[in-house]
Amino acid sequence: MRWGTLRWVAWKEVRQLLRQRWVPVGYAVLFGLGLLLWNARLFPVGWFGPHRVAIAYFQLLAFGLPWLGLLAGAQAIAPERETGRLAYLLAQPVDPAEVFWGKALGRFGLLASLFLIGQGITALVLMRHGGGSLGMYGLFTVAGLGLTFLSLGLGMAVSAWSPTQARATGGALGLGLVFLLVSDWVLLTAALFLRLSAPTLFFLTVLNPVQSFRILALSTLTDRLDILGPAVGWALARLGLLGLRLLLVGTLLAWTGTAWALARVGFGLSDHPVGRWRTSAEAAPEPFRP
Amino acid sequence: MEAFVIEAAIRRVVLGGRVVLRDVDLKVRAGETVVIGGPNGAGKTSLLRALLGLVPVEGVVRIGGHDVRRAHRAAMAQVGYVPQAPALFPEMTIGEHFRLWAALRGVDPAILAEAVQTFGVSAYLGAYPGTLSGGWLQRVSLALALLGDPPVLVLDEPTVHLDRATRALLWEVLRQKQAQGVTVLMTTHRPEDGRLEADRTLWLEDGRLVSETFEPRQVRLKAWVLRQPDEGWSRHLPPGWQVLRLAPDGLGATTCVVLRGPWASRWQALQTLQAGGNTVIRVDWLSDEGEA
Repeated sequence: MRWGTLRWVAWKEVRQLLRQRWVPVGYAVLFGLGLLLWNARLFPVGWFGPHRVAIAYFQLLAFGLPWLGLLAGAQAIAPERETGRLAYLLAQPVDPAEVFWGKALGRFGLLASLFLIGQGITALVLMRHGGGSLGMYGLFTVAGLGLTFLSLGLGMAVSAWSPTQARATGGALGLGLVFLLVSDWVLLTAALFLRLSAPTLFFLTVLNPVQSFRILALSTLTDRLDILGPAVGWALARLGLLGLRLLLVGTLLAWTGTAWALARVGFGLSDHPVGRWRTSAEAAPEPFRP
Repeated sequence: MEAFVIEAAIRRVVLGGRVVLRDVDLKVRAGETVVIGGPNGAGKTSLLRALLGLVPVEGVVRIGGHDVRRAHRAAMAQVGYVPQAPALFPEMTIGEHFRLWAALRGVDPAILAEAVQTFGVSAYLGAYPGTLSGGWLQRVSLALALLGDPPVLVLDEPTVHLDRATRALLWEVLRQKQAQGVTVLMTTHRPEDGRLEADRTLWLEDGRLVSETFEPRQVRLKAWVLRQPDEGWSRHLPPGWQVLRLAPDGLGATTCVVLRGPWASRWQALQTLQAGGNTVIRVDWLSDEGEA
């Protein structure tokens, strides 16, 4: 793999994402809301005090980062394959792997940069108000980068296995809904009606990477994880804080590895990136045969 | 053993569950111009994509001796490609496309300027593709394909969006490239494209090459010359050319000359006729089977 090619493909991806504008706007909205939340720190409510705001901020990022990553990933491959632009790019002296990893590098580089800028500005505001632990904040930032990388990989996997832009976007939206809303509803319903045991509920919960991230992020803030309910309470009692953290990190790493492996295979590890589906150029009408 | 710059033995190409190419064997010599014709949906674009390794192929394709799948980079370094529909990236300016293509092809910036000049796209370097007409986008694609002077040009219906003047410019550039020994592989459904530029014309139908010959193609040159041509000019005709007919035409003001010879040296034959002090007022190119 040539670094020069990777760099130029990444450069192209960054240009495209910046000019599409929705990614920078998405991060601006996310961190704008985050800053509003931190301002609410001046009016602490409830027994949890200022940490309650921190938890709300974590929840906000746990909700926003997967959407941005999934959608940015979904736009990476399928639209270019559908319009023939991917074929055009691959008809240059490049290795398909360089195109794939160049796309990943450019997209993750931009998402990570915007996330770090947002986190940096938030950190400055927090320091001005004299609150927060820098170590905790740093750990949370690393976890946020991990979640971005994971959701981008999932989005690229959806894109790599989708023949059209519409299906890729729909797939990413569907996956986001499953991870962020539907899985919670299903678990709640199952817990109520099937009377799931605490261990079963815990393992089903951490199967969802977003939930794993939430619990992990919260564990950087407080060791009072029993607030999350009996399932996490059981895990804490059984595994201890370190064991629980290792399990959550392991789950996130497994998801990340699976997502990127699926994306790479879908892009064409054994087959060709443009292949399998007819692009618009090939989808000419069948010749008339009397 | 003869050296071929493009060698393809394609058993099958399946796209979207449909077999779009089957049993296509194609060999193109260095410096040869091959035009592939066929109706819509015959598989012309798929064939070019298969040759460039852009779709999964059951079979083997080599360009410049490099397997397009196993040594994709090396194979593509030989090729300048123009897709059927301009496939430029809408969020990048034309100038950024040239920068990207030059970087990927390892092209010197000085050569970049030359390529931009050839098709007159320098005025649009700051423009986005969405603001340009189809013809200008095609000019940009052609200029990008010529970056770095690749020894093989693969053109997918390059004349589709072009007006007459730009088509003439394209043919002029292609003639220069032919003279430099560049191999040209082109698809078209305009018969005149094939007649004008090809050393060989292939016909693709329902995913199969239905006609191909390695025999040098013959052509007839029918010219009207003012007055009687000077004597002795025919001795300077290129090898393989012969005079089929030389007779006064109409009221005797012009002479109709019909020559026959190899397609590859057709321009030298015409130049010989003109160089003999003869004023050629009209030229028709006819296929070898055509009526003279």
